[in-house]
Amino acid sequence: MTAVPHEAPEPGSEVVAFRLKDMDFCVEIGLVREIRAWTPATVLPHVQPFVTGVINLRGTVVAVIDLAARLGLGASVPTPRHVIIITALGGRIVGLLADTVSDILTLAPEVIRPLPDQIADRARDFMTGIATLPDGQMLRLLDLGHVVPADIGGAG
Amino acid sequence: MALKTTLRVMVVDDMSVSRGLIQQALDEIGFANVVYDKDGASALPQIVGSEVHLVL
Repeated sequence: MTAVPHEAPEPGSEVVAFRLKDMDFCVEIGLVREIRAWTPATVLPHVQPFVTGVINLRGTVVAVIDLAARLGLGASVPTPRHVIIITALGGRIVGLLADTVSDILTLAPEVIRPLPDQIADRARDFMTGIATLPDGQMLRLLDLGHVVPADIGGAG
Repeated sequence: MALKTTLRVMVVDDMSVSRGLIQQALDEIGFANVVYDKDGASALPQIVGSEVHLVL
């Protein structure tokens, strides 16, 4: 992955890239609060299958979403090498379980492409587009608003 | 205002992405004088050797 210095002027084009089941994704940097090493989450009864549980983030109870499960890629089996990406969407704080975070990248507007029309609506819901990097790598741009259901991550 | 530019900040984190996130936040609030290191052992001589006002 190409590491690009991240003091570029274009606002909104900086992303945090991460890996999930050998696939590369990214999320807008402005939505990311911090990266936590995996700590076992407290499982809650009757939560959605993609909710790993909750963690205590300096006194705030934060829901952790198993991103792989949420995206239809099968449930993750968390290990100490996994990370939790703490995101803030509006007032909602939610953790996303990912394999690793790889980099902070600056994406030029022209590398961000829309998803092809042939892709199922459901897939399109979860992604805002795809970034094509100079090395040929494709980075899936996550639509956090769709990934995190409206009823998760309220006042914790 | 002046405090933001004169205050010398040191950010120590072993994860480059975490350093980047903190850099982003400090940039946003206007801290100009920030140095970064990836571990406490190599950060310590810098803290001792130069005047650092705030360590994150």
